[in-house]
Amino acid sequence: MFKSQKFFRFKKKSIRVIKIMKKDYKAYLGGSIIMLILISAIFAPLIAPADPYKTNVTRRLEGPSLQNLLGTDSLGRDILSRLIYAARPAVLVSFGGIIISVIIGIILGLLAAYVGGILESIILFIFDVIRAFPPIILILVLLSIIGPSLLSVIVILGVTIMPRYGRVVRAETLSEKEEDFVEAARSLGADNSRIIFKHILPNIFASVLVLSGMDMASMIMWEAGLSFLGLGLQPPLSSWGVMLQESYQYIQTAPLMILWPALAIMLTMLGFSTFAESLRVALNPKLNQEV
Amino acid sequence: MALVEVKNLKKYFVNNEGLLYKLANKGPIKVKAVDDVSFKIEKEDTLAVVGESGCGKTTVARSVLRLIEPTAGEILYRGRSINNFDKRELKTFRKDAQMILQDPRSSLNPRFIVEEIVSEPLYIHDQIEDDFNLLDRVWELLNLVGLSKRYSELFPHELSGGQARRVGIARALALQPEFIVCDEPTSGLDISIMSAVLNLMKKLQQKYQLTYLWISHNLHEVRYISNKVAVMYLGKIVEITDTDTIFNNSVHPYTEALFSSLRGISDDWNYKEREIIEGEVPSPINPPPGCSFHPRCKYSFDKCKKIEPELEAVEAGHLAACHLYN
Amino acid sequence: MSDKILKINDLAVEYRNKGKYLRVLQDINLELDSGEILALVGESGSGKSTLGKTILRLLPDSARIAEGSIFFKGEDICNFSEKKFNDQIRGQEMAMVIQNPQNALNPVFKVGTQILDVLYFKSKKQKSRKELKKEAVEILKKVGISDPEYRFGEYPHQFSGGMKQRVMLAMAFISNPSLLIADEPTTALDLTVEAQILNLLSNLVDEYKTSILYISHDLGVVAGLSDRIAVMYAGRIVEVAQTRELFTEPNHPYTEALLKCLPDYQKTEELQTIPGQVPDPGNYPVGCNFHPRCSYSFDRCRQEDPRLEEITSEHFSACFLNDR
Repeated sequence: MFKSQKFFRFKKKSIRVIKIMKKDYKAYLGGSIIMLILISAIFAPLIAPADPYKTNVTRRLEGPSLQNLLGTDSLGRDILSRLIYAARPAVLVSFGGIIISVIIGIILGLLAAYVGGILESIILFIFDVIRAFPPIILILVLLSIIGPSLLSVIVILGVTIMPRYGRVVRAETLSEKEEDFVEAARSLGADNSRIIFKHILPNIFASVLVLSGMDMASMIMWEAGLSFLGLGLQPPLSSWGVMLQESYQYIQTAPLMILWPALAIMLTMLGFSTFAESLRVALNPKLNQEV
Repeated sequence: MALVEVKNLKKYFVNNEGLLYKLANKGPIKVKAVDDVSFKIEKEDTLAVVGESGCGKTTVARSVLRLIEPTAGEILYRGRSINNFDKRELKTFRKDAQMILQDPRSSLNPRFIVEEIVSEPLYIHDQIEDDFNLLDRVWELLNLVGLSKRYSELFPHELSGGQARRVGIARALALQPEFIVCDEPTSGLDISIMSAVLNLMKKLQQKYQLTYLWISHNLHEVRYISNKVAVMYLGKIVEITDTDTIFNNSVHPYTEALFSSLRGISDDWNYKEREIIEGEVPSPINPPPGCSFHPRCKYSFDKCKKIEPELEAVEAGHLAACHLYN
Repeated sequence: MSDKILKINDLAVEYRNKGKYLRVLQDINLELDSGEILALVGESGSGKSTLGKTILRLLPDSARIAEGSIFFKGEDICNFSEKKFNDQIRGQEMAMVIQNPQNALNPVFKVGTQILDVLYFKSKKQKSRKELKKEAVEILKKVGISDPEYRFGEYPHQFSGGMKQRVMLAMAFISNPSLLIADEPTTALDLTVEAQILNLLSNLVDEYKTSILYISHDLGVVAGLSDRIAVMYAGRIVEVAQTRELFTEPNHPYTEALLKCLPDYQKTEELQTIPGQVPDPGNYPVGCNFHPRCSYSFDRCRQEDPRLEEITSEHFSACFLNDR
């Protein structure tokens, strides 16, 4: 398998992308942040210094110390450990939500562009309906119908953001369809599925990637906000948003406490956006000519 | 039996703007890009189609391969009408009839490497059993067009215009077609590259008994590469005959005008003293009544303003659409 | 000397690329008489467009003149300040028309307005735009635009390519320039329109006594237009001669090879090709830039750069074959 021509092509293209990204500080910055988040999420039990659920009423609201590097929260739990464990829902929400948005968006966008007619009108109508609601209202309404939980947050966020991908995919597909190389493929006898999967999708992927960088970041913000309102994760499960909500009450007495989850959220957003940007530039073959 | 026969081909593009627009213009705007075009191409012929912007030559090229659906008319390949081909038959047709597009680079997917581009037709038509032979076949094709093995790993933007053009030709040859539609294959290329491409196309034609439909606006090139020429104006063929006759004995006033601006290096005249035809090609949305060339024609008379001339034989193998000869 | 509108001495131009400077023009020596049409021909990478832009100071910031001087009407315009150059030279004494006229006209203003603007500035803001309208319509008529009154009020997108090019020529000639630089003005046009534009250009030249530097890759067009031709290859001028003589007695191997590559409707022989590729700036070979592709090259060609020398009267060539 490794000798096959398909593998060789993939290897050559990947090497090129990697070489370009190696020179880009954004790739390192974004990449390391993402790695950090992912490692925290996956290896939380191994990394976290303490049990995030263990309460210790005698040592509440303490500042940073040797025992608790980031201090303790209102129930005496180690903040650092909680922060690390909370990377899990962060990863689940951002990746899960984006996957739902992108997959449904691509499917609907492609259908709209290729089939056209009434189906396209229906799909566009669905997009418009979703977009017509201010997102906060739509999300709150859906959450109250389905009931708050991590899964419902992921699904609802995914569905709410989806129209953006659908519209972009449709628009770009319509324009890529007219490209010369697509016409050339048709003249060779390629059928629609080949054209879609081999010619169109890879070329619109870059736009999708840019959007997803931004959206993954904003999904984390949403989850934080919803949890802050008590509509996201429910205790004892914890996310950075939940931590924000808990720290908010103690902002006078223990001001540092709110800093950590806020920083975590900001850092994650930064990581996703910069990495996506770097990847987008690297994936575009025309942007990287050695003059 | 001719390899390719086009019968009364019509392609109208309809511009469906909103209601108000339609009311203002008394109906949707119809652009008659190709208006009743017929011709035959015999095996191993090169039929050149010349004409200026808006004449419809590009639309004809695409219609012949059914990349655009004709509004009316029939296209016969080896005697069979391709208009009614189903998906399977169309795919088989595409093995035999290929196209080389005008812009050398834009017809190559910027994310594919050359090897992928050239082997794509083989994948489409299931002519690959395993990967091992694939590279050899690709290298063979690249070699045919004068590119060495190392080009197979490059991206389109790493190629020069001439090299990209050759990759397009290699791809077109992959399935061993019989008929190739060449849409301005040398446009945008430097002189020295152009000659290389022309010689290559001629050599390939001899080697593989290829038949060409060659769209061009370069009359020198037409002289070199074709044996038959069709001159188009505003969607119609105004004259069609063999190349020698077109250059030495053309009859249609538009052909005369077109060729009068043709200047070879050894010619004696300069642009200052030349009698140049006036006016521009009218818009295909609103062609003049009668003969569409009459407003610019120095020979036009009454009949030309009212009745459209038919394409009729002026002598054997020479057709023209002009009232001077009917 | 007093007759020469333009005299370029040992000009060299560089582009900055990733910290290094690459020479794109080298050893450029050229003269243009008053009222003469000089064609600059070459393939891509020859530097012909760059030379045209250098004269009018239209190069991007990453480019600079490394050596040499450009004398226009006896003065070294390289020393002019940007303001002086802009006020006196560009658009006044020197004008330019380019390949894609649609990019030169502002799409949101009517064509008439744009012509009026040029006239207004030429009259040094003395005349009102109303007064100038009549002149503008006259100009449209002179360049062959039918219904000039009506066309005056139209927008560029309503003009065809040929018409836009006529407007460009009109605007260029309004200021009665001594030098017009035309960079492939007819390449994007249909054949009959091209002939019309070239006919118009020739007549305008006669009327205004303008000198023209005509940049093109189309030898057929240039043959029917220019008095002299300069052939460029890889940043250098390799041959200059009277038009007729260049085609009947080419001296430089590149010119000779190029002529053999040209399809000509009167020739039936097989076309020649030139093996190899034009080198990129920064990758020029040691010695003569053309030697790797030249069938006559010998030792000296691989070591030294040949200079442009007069071989016979008015015929210059940069080739060591002439020294033997």
